[in-house]
Order: sequence, then structure tokens, then C-alpha cells
Amino acid sequence: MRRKNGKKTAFFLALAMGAAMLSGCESNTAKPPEASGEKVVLCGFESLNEMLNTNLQYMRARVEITDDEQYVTDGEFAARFVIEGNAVEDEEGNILYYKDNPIYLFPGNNYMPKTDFSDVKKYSIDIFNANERPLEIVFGYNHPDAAQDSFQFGKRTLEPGKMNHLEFEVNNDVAASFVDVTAIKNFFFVLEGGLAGEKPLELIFDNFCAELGEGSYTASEMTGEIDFSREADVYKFSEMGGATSKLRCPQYSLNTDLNYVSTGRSSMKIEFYENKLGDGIDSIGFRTRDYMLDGSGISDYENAYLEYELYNDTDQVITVQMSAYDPLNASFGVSTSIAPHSWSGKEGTSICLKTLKEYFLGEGLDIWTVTFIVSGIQEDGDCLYLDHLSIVER
Amino acid sequence: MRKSKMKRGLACLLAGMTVFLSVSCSGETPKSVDPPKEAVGEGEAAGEAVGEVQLKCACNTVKVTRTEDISALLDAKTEGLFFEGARGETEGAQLILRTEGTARFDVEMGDLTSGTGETIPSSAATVYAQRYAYTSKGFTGFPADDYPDALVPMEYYKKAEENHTEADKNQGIWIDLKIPGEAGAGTYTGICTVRTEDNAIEVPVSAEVYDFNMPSAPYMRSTYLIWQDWLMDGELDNTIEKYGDYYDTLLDYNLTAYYFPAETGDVDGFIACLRQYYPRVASYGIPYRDQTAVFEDGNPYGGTAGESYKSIDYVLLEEYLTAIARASKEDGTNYFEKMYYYFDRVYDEVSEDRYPQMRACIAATNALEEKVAGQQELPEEMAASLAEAKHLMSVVHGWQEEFAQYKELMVSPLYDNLGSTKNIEMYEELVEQEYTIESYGTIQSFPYPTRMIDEYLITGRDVFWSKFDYRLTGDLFWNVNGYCNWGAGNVVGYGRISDLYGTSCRDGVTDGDGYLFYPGRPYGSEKPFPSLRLMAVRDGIDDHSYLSLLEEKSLALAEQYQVPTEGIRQAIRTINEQIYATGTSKLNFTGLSDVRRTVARLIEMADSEAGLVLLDFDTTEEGVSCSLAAKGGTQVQLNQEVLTAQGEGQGSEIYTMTGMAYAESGVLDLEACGITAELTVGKRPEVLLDVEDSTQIERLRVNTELGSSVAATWEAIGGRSGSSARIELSGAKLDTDTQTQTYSPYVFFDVADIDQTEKISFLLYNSGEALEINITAGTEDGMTYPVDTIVLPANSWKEIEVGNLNRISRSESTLAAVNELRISTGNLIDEAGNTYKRTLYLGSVYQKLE
Repeated sequence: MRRKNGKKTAFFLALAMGAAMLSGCESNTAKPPEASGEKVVLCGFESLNEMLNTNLQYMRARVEITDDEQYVTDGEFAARFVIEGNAVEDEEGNILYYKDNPIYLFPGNNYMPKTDFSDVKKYSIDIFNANERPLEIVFGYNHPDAAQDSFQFGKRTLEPGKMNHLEFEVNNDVAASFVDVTAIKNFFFVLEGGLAGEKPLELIFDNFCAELGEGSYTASEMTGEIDFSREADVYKFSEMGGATSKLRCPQYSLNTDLNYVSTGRSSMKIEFYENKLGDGIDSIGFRTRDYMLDGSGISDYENAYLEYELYNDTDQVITVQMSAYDPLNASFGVSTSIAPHSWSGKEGTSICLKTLKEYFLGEGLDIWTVTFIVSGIQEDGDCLYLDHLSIVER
Repeated sequence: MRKSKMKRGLACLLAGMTVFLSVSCSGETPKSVDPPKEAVGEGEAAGEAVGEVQLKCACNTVKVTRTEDISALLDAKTEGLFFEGARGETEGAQLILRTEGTARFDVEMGDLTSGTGETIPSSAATVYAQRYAYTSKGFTGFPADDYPDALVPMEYYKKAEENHTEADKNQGIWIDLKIPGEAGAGTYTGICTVRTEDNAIEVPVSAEVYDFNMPSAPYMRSTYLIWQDWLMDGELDNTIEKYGDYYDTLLDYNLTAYYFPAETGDVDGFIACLRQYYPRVASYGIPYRDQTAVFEDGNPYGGTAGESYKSIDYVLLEEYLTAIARASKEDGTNYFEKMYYYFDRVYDEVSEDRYPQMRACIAATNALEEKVAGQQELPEEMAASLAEAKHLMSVVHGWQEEFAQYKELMVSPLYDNLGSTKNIEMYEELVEQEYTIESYGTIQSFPYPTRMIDEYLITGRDVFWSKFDYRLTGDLFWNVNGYCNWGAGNVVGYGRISDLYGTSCRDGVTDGDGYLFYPGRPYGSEKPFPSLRLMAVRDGIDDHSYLSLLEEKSLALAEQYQVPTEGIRQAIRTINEQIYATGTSKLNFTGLSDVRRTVARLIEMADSEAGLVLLDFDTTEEGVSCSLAAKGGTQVQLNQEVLTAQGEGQGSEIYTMTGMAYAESGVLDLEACGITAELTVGKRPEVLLDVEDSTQIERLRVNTELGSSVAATWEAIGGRSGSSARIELSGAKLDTDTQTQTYSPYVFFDVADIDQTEKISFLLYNSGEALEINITAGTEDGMTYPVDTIVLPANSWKEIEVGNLNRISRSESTLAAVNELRISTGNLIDEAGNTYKRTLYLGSVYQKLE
């Protein structure tokens, strides 16, 4: 342990902790702030053997254990990753970019015996970005690409040339709506891949911790309404189709700026990013994750509609095709255009459930997913705002 | 010499027996797996009271488990360590240490010195500590126990402070000796010191260096796959540099991976590797990227129009072939000679549904080869080699008719496809027709060659003896670095294994499949560490090189002498009979080194002033026959008797002996120019069932009275005069279709001492169309065991040799209980449902005891 005792150190650490809680992101010092609750080290990156409990197979890299004080924030060692990356090439063999680098850590072993994470109120990790540019990283439970049984806490930026102390607040009322927080299968960190021509990425990891709290929570049930009045609603969406990077897929966040709210007091901001090829936007749209809408309470299909309202905050006309799918992949869709900086109209933004029933194959009305294929998004940072996606009776 | 060899042999025999007998034991209590232990800085403190120290010798063909009783093994201090090998060869030897209490131990090899003052330095030796893994899956039928497998070099073992024995448990020590390429032939001696706390045991060491060099590249082609991504799971490094560490290490074990250590697409890097590694490899593979293509309308491959199929990037392939062509012309080296393809994602373990894409791939590759040869204006020899480049085609169920149109395949069936005379002869016939046949292994156990931890060590080695005989040119293994638990998937890949050195099961089914290496990084090594099983493969490929060298030199001498060559292979096959039969290992733990020595001495004789070549060698009930040629004027002795030449070749004399009596020792000493080769002849086959004696005919019985019968006959049959037993087997229709289909008429006779039998032989005549028969063993308690399947040619005699008797069982008690041998056919019933009879004629049955 390298922490010193002393009031002065405690004062600065408290300051740093405060700053970290506010920003949720970075620290210039190699020492993490003090935790307010009981802290459990989930992965200390202390040895090669400990690292063998992770799955790093999907990256092309070398991991070494270092005792360099510059990088060790807890214990005696940290883990240095030198990531060459898995290249994506064109037909001539030219490297276009490198794939994302996933890191999976597994609970339920000698190094991380804890498997029940229902009592966690915050996760933190220290990552030194030894590269010349910022890097994006996401963190979550289970599988980053799974449409069910997974949860992503959020994206962070690793500032170059410094120790980044990342924190991820946990609201188990939300997380437990999507995963069984008492039996987490694994944690994932997905680090964006390198750029063509870039030298191998170098990062040093230490001190992946969980700060514990009360442990009580109430998971929300799926209903026929996603109106963003609940925090969990923002987590009900994922990207549509493939992407050059998980870190460049559409990001979803709660919006309370009433300029972008049609009904109620909140909506969801959907932010798009340029793909790694530099020739467009990553992901062709967005969709609900599996079984996020429950229409089982509806009996009068003829007068019930699946509808949405979307604000186009770009400078281009966009076309939106909404389709609903059943578990057998049968679907029905509607299409509309939305003018720049405008809300969608009534036309092409709703589907009568009776029509859906006619197209769906199974019994009842089991909506597997609702997809939105959006064309016309051009710029990195372009945003849309989804006011609601709901099953309503008219 | 022979006495000490017998004693060494006894040491191996007892070790082998101990392992063998352990098969019959059961009821071992499962042990818990130790939690992962840091390699550096930890280690138990040695006990103060070491107590009794035992140091024993064990053959390099056996595994000695952690717990087994070693008291019967020979004492190392008196017996010593013994190495023998050719220049450039690495050979291993084994010690077993056991202390009453815990003790730190160390092993130090000294220099070895010859009588002429030459030295093999101590640095030529690598000492390994054996690590043990608890096996519990029972896939092989061996009992659960701590089996040795991982070999950690002592320098790393000591650094990790793991060099301590466990109280009253075996600690295996493996020592490799790499014989320098310039070492003079002869005997080198020295000392190996084994220390335990304050105790030091000096073990005398003797190394016999044969007077020939190992080839720079092995004769046996291999494709042992390194899974680059999976290197991360053990080494925390899956860069191309780490892949290169594994590639280089595999070469030390006579093996090659498919890919050179260059990224796919890095053609320049590939060419650099080609130039670097070419002299050391028996073959190399062409990297590829897979693609999806679509069958066109009217395609000639049988693909459905519009259907997508697995293909490869031919643009990239053309780049590689063009680069190789240019390098070949620049360097004046025909690099295409060793080139092959293994587009596994297109045609691995191919079956009928993938024929269209296989056909398309072969056709496209052939067209590309022709194009490159033309564009690069390759010289004829290089163009021919390019056109003859082959595709490695692994096949689970063996030869398929589809392959008949392709000479550009290296067809590689699973080992179990070569476990019967029927199949072996089929593949030998295919080889005669110039098809290229290999074989491969995966999840298998005895009687098939295997690489399981809880299995015989020797079968991973002596499979290469059978490959030589059956002219199988290569070996394939799917993964040398399975460092994850692919038997347990999770949402994000395969299961993790934190203690790779102690976890034997990685697939949920077997102990040992999918890996032959252990990661070196936990011990601070950038190179991986080997396993005992990898040593067996290395040694087997070296043995194969011995046999290949012997054949090569024999053929060259025979051509020089202008004498017949047809018997040379048979002569080598007779020598090999001590090692395996019908694709089944004879588990000759003690004798393998003797047979290997025989081959080595024959190589030396061929190279010596004697220029001696064994033209023929066979052992039958009529005696031993042997034919050899040597340079004119050479004195050749057989069992100390100077031989008189019966004929002459070009600059040579020919010696032919037939019907020689079997030596009491079971060995013929062939000597020339001061070199002696021991030809093992064994015991004379004795009559087991004499068909000349009509009373013995009664010992032949048929299973039912449904039209089958046995009688004595004196008629001349198929050009052979004398008595035989006339056996009429009859088909039968039974009450139900199932009964009819499964009915098998057979003739049987009683046997005994099968546990001490080397082989049973007889002549069998088939009067009719070709007929498939089964040889089955039966025991007192009514159990039956398949032994062989043989195709009798139409209207002719066939010599049947049943030498793979331990295929019946590994258990001595089961073998001892065998009391009958059956010759059966399927039900003799034609397509119209009519039964018919088939007459066989059986000559006398002979039994050759061990």
C-alpha cells in the first residue's frame, strides 16, 4: 500500500474525491479518492495469474504487470496493456481501422469471489492513458452487444498522458430492470480501437473497485409506455445493425430541456457519431432492446396504436422507418420524413395494433423489438430527441 | 551390454506394469484442486526431516503418477541414466525422486566425456521438473490420479521456489540431452547429481552417439495449429511475436504450425519467414482469408445457383503464390516443393454437403497456380511443384469416393480409420495409386494413438512407426495451446482457467485434448514449456526419421548394387512388428529403444565401409529368412558366424538365409565393420491348431447348425497342396428382420495364453467373390471383443496375422481370459433375400508367444 497517513493528504484526497464525484471522470493524481462507503477491490491487476481470470482474447495485445509507482494506485502492481488491435482491412489489404478492444472480468473466483452486486452504489477504476489522444471507453454488465440481460453504465473519455479515475454511479432500481444484479455474469470494459497508422495503444489499469451501499432496490416492470419519465427508459435502447465501434454507436441520455419535450417533462436524447471510416454515421439507426414494450394489457387492438414522437435536431431532412418485430421475425413498418429542427407529424409514426396482429405470426401480440432506421443523419454529433414510444389507446 | 540393457529393460517393464496394472484399479478418491498459486515468491518451506530418499530410473516411454509405488523400479545410482541418439537429435531420460518428508531438490548434469576425449557439455542437457495434473474425466478408462504432464525447466522451477518434493510422493525429473551436430560417435559418460537438502546422489550417465546425423528437417510433415487468439488466455500476449515464440518452440519438437509467424496479408513478412525457416520445416502452409461467394447458374461444382458458400480471397492467394515464385527464382530454391494449403474453413472434416465448395476451391486454386506459373515464367521443375501443391483434407470417417478425382489432396483420416487390416490395405492401395494419405488424432483413447494425459505415453510416439509403414506422410493436431475452458461457454466466450498447470480438462470431456504446451509467462519465460506428450511426439518423429533414413540409404545402396529392392520395406516392417500391429501399439515400453537401436545400427552399417543393406527379413513358422547385401570383401557375421555370400551384385555380395532356426535369445546379431545390429526374431511360432491332424479339426466349430459346417479336406486348393479345414458358412433367415440382419455365421476355435501371445497367424482361402470377415475374441464369461476386419480377395489364399491382440483390452486379466477366436462374416443373404453359403479353407493356425 502506498497511501500515506496525514491530514494534508486526506484534505487533498477529499478535494480530489469531491472533484471526481462531480465530474465522474478523471484525476491527475495516481491515487484514487477515498471511498465514502465500504470498498471492495474487484480486480487489483496485481499479477498475471489474476489477469488470467479475465477474457482478453478478443484483442490483439500484450499485458504486463508493472510496479511503476507512476501507475500503481492501489496494492503493489498495475497491469500495462499494449494493444496492437485487430485490424479491419479493405479489399486491397489496407488497414482501415482497428476493432474495439473488449475486456471481460469474471466474478466468482478466488480473485473476485463476489457475485452479488446488488449492494453496489458505485464502481471505479483507474486507467492511465499513455497515448497522445483521448480514448473512449464504456463499462457495463454482461455482454456489450446483447439485447437482453446486459447493462451499460456509460461512456467515459480517457484523457491522454494522465491517470483517469473513472467512476460509475449505480442505480440498481434501473440496472436490476435489465440484469439480475445478484448474479452478474461478468463486467465488460470496451476500449475504442486504434486508428489506421496509429502505434499500439498503451494503457495501464489498476484498482477496479466497488463501493457498497444499502443494497435495496426496486426493479421496474416493462409496460406499454416508454416516455422517459423513469430513468430506466433511457436504457431500453441500443444501436441498429453493425457499427465500426461500440463507442461510436448512438448514445442515449435523459433530456429535461423542454425545448425537446413534447409531452411530459422529459425525453431521450439520441446522439450519433461519425464512423471510423470517416464516411458517414455509425449505425443505421436505433432500436428497443428485446421485449422492452409490453402490450399484453391491450384487448382492443383496433383502437390501439404503437406510436412515437421524434424531434429532428439536425440541419437535414431525415427519413425514419419504424418497424415492429415479433419473436419469429415477422414485421410491419411505417415511414415518415421529418424536417430539420422539427417534430415528427402524425403520418407514418404509428401502427395500428390490429395491423401488427395481422402481420405477426405467433399468438397474441408479442413485440420483440421496435426498430428505427434513420437516413439523413450526416454530421458527427447530430441529435434526435425521442419524446415517447408507447402503445396508446385512442 | 545385454545384461545391463535387460536390467534397464526390467526397470521400464516394472514402470510400465505399474501403469498398466493401475488400469485394473479403481475407487480412487477424487482430490481437490489446489487454488492458484503465484509462481514467484511463493513455495512451501522444506521439511526439516527429509527421511528416506529414493531415486529411481524410468523409461522415457512411460508416465509415473504421483502416487504409484516405485519400489520395484531400479535404483538410479546403480543403473544410471542412459541416452542414445544421432547427432543433432534430442533424446530424453527420466528419474523419479521420492522422499519420505518434504525436501528441496536440485538436479545438475555434468559434462559427458568420450573415450577419445570429446565432450558433450552440460549445457546440452535441459533438466525439467514434472508437474502433475489431477485427471478425473475417465475418458480413457484409466483411473483418476495425478498424472505428470507439464515440464518446467529446473532454472524456472527453482526461481519460483517450487523445487520441493511432497512427502512420500513421486517427483518426476525429465532430462533432455541434445546431441551436438559435431559430436563424434561413441559412448560418453559423466555424472548427474540429484540433491535433496544435504543429500547428494550421483547418478552415472552414459550417452551413446550414433554415427549419423539427423536431417535438418524431419521426414514427417506436420500441421500442429497454434491458435493465436487463445495465446492470450495463458500468456496474456497474443501478438505475432508471441506466436513466433510458439512457432519457434514447436520446431524444436520437430513440428510445424500452419502459419509462419507473419500476419495474414503481410506477404513480405511471409517471404522473410519462408527464407528463414525453409531448411528446417518439412512443409509450410499458405495463409488465407475466407470470403463468401455465390454459386452461379450452371456451375460445374454441384452448387445450387444463388446459394452462398465459403470461399477464399483468391486475390490474396495470388499475391502469395506470386511472391513465392519470385523468391524461388531469386534464390534458386524451389520453395513450392514444401508448400501446401489447408483452407480449413472451406473443407475441414469435409462431408457431402460441402463438396461443392470444396470442388470450387480446388478448381480455383488450380487455375491460379497455372496462371502464376505462366505469368512468372517459372522453370519446369518449379511449375510442376506448384501444380502439385496439395490441400490438407482432414476427414472424420475416412476416404470418400469424392476424393478419387483429386491427386492434389493430402487425405487425413482420423487414426481410428487405420485400425483394421481392411482399411490399412485400402489406404496402402491408394498410396500405390499415388494418392497422398496422412492421419490425425483428436479425442481418442487406446487402442488408438492418443494425446491424453491419463493415457499411455508411448502411443503418442509409436504411432509414427505405423505411419512409416503405411506410408502416411503427415500428422495433424488441432490445437497446441488450448488455454481456456471451451467445454464451458459463457456470454462472452469460453470459460477461464486460472491454474493451467493443474487443470487437465479443458473441454468438459477429456483430460488433455487441445493442448501440448504450457504457458511460460507464469514462470517468467517468454517461451512456452513442453509436456511429456509433446516429448513423445518429438521422439516419434525422430523415430520416423530413423526409419526413413534407413529406407533411403537402403534403396540407394540397392540401386548401386543393382539388387532387388522389393523386400526392403518388408524387412523394415518385420523390425517394426515389435512396436505395433494393425495400427495398434504393442505397448513395448522396454523394447522400443532396442528396436530403435537396431534401426540406428543398420543406418550406420549402410554408411560404413560395409555398405550393408537388409534386402529382406521375415519370421514365419518355417523359420527366419534374411537377405542382405554388402560391399564386396566385407566380412558379415550372423550370431558370430561368418556368412558366405550366395550371389553378387554390382560391387557387392549377396547373402541369403532361409528357414533359419530361431535363436534361443530371440535375437539375431548381425555384425559388420565392428557394428552390430540386433534383429529381433522372437520365439518360433508353434502350431496352435494342426489341420493335418483330423482330430484337431474337431476344435473348429461353427456357431449354429443353420447350414454351416466344418470338415477336414485334403484337396489342393488355390495352388496350395496339403490339408486344410473346409469351412462352410451359411446365411440364415430368422424370425425377425432385425435378427436376420444381425445374424453372423462364424467358425471359432479355442485359444489360450493370449496375454503372452505376440501374434496368431494362419492362411485362409476364400472360394468366391471378395468377402469381408471379422476376427473377434471371446472370453470365458461370454464377452466378445472385435480384433480386426479383413477383406479376403476372391478365390485366393490370404495370410492372416493377428498381432494386435492388446486391442482386445489393456487388462491383462481380460487378455488371459480370452479362450476363443472367431472368424465371422455378415449374414450371407443376397439382395433378393436368398441365403447362400461361402466356403473357406483354413490352414494350420500358429501362435507366436512373446
